[in-house]
Amino acid sequence: MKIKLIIAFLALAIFSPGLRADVVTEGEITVTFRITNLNEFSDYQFFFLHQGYTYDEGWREGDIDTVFMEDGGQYSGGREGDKSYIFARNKVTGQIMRSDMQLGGKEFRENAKYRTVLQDYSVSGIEGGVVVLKEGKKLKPDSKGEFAEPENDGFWHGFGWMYWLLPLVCLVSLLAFFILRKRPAASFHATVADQPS
Amino acid sequence: MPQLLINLLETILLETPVWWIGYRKEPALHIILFVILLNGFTLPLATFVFHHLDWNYFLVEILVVIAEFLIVFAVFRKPVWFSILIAGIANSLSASLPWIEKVMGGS
Repeated sequence: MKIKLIIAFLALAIFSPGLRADVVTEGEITVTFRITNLNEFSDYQFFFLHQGYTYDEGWREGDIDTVFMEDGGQYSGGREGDKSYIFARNKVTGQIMRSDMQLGGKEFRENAKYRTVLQDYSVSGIEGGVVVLKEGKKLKPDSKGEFAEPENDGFWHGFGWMYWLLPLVCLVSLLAFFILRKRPAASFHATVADQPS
Repeated sequence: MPQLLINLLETILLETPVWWIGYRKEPALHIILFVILLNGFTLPLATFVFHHLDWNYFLVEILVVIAEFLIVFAVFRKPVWFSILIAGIANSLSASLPWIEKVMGGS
């Protein structure tokens, strides 16, 4: 019975809509980056993408479709608080890597001035022609140059609650699991036996 | 379905047999529930710090093993070395999942 209660509690928490808080402030951002030592990455093409906070929920390699930039470039779109990534594609092998992952990740990240660049943004208007990939779908600016609102676009939106509410619920459930297991079974039976019939 | 949930299901499916073998004297339901709760706790946090805080993958996995070892030791009260061993094996298996998928996918 206790186990069932824990399962019911967990299931209820997982499938509930979740507590949501909109902390993303309004305002478009422009991020500019520049590769400082292209010689070391002569086999690579660089491009820049934006995806909010949900990298792992988003597109895959086959979805990538954006403007490649030889020596850096500029991206406009998204909102303040979102996160962006610099990518490199090997011209020979076609392999794509994120700035902080896989082959030469650390070196590439440092050379790409990844962190510095991301802090160096400024608020500006949206420029047309930028393709934002989200949830495997391409979101293009409409005739007014505005992007459609993504449904699950951040840590606090959509399934973003899973990153913090799920661990919290599971930790509490583990604690309950621990306490219930620790209780000696004999005391339970003794308590039942002591009850008046 | 969000990728996190898929990863969670994959991890649970991979790790459950390991935990089950290691703690086969425990009721099966307890083990399954424990693995779900354990990974429900560690996986979202690990995913977050890896993808969004840019922590090193191996560092994240080591921290996960430590966290899971502490929890499993507290819950099942087996020897420390045994708890570390099982947590290590289970997480080594699930940590290698991206590479397994990459090899299987042929990319």
